[in-house]
Amino acid sequence: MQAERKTLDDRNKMTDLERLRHSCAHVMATAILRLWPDAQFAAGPPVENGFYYDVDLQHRISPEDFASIEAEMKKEIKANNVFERIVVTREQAIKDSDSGRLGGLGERPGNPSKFKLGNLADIPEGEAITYFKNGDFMDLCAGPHVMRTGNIGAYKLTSVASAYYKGDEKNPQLQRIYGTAFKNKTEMEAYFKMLEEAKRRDHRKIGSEMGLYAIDTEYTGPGLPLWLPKGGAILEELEKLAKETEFHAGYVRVKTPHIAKEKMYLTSGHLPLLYKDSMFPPISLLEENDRARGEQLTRRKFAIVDELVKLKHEGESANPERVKVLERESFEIGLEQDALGERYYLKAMNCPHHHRIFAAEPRSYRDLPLRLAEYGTCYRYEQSGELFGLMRVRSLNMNDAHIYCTPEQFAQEFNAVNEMYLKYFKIFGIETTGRRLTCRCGASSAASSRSPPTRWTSPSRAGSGWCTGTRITPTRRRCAFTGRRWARMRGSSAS
Amino acid sequence: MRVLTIGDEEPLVSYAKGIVQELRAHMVRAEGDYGNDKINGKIQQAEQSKVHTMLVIGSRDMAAGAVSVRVHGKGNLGAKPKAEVVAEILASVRERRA
Ligand SMILES: [Zn+2]
Ligand SMILES: [Zn+2]
Repeated sequence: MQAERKTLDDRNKMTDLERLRHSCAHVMATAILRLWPDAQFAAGPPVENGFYYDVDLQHRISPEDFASIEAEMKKEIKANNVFERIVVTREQAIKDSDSGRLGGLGERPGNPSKFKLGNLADIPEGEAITYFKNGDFMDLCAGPHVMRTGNIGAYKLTSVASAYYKGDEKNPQLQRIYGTAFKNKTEMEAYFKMLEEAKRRDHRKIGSEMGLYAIDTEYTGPGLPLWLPKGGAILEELEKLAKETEFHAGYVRVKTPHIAKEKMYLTSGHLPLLYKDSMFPPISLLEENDRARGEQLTRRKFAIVDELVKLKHEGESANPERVKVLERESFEIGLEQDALGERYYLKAMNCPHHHRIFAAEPRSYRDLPLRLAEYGTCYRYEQSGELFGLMRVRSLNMNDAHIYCTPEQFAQEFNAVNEMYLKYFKIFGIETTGRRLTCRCGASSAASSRSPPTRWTSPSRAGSGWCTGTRITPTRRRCAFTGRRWARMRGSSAS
Repeated sequence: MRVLTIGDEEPLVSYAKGIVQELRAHMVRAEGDYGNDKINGKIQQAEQSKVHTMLVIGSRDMAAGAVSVRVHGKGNLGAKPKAEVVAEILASVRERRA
């Protein structure tokens, strides 16, 4: 999908490699035109691991064509043409689109550069309209590029897909030709080797070859892994290790149900807004006749919570009357909901359950720190398009813990948690881990974290000062899963 | 881990089953392959499933109260007294040795 047009600011931020790859898209277009002069080009940005160019062409380009396209690219690179920047007026650009000159090697009467004309319309008034010309190929483009075609040290076409012009399915469908480029051959070879390695180590491949887990989309559901006996053995060993480690570190184990009443998540703040889209829709225990009334009450309650949050954000004292009215109404709705019957949610996190455990018995300072641990099975309603093997799932087992402690105990507890992570990372040879501490109040020091909790608003990159000597410097290259960086690492949250 | 018999005859199979039972009593994930397939085929299959430790037993091993040990990635470590091997396995599980 093609996103919005890049702003000038985005363009300035393009890395050297992105410039090189985008320049290579121009070179690829040049080569395609040498072979098929009628080709009409749309957009050719750099992407995560290379570049693409969208093209409209009678001939359907297939991987069999790659060698001949690459051969033409080689000539263009060898010619070492300059990427020449030309500033033009909008009138001139419209004229050059009409004549088929833009995104072409020369004028093409009767074959106007229709997509370039459409791109032109997206350039705001007041922004310079520029061409970039390498040899005969002249393209409407804001850049940036490398100096010369010869700066592209190594390149390879990788795949073909299809895409709608400007990502809109009402627009014509184009062929999207993907490629990648590097400063030199060595770097490109390393990249493809890494891809091979990733394929070899793909957990989905290993998982099915070794009989570790299965995902039965038809009967169990997408994103709901079934652990087969051999995978179960791995899980069991991991759990055993963690149980021992945590036992040693003074944790106590608890066990909580997979569902909870709506009230719990309204109280914790996960509902109505924060987690609404990540949770499965509720299980309603309402009688058929009461459903409509139940829905109505819930919607009203959500609206009240929304308004209360807003009021509290503005400063409660601004409108104490309104707050009182809303709280009263909320209370009455609660009574009616209780009378009607309940709504339950599958848990997407264990925290509120653990907090109920904390609240289940009278606690004294002498009980602190209290470290609750559980392998909680959680359910998250991930978009079906985002599900990926075991990396993005709808049910997961969280090795979760919550620590209840005094402000004075915080630093020590925090460091101990960190040490435990480092121990696990060492055991599993995980070298890449960026960890982020999220504070309730956006605090950046231990002292301010003691201020009364408001809401989980601004995550901060605090922590370095609190635990000097424990923070590991994130390195990008290696991690347990080769290739993409999986940014989501959830840790225990200390309250 | 897996206990493999050379052949499917008694009392060899009972001897092998006894070893599996003993290991399982100590919570070691042991299983048996007592079929009459060729021993090389059985070993190969276990290799493919990445079985960590294989105990290969023939009638001569049985007579000597021994087992032959093969470890994934290390190959054949030779025949040793059964009691010694069991103790070694339990220790390596306890210490989480690779
Ligand atoms: Zn360009
Ligand atoms: Zn939590």
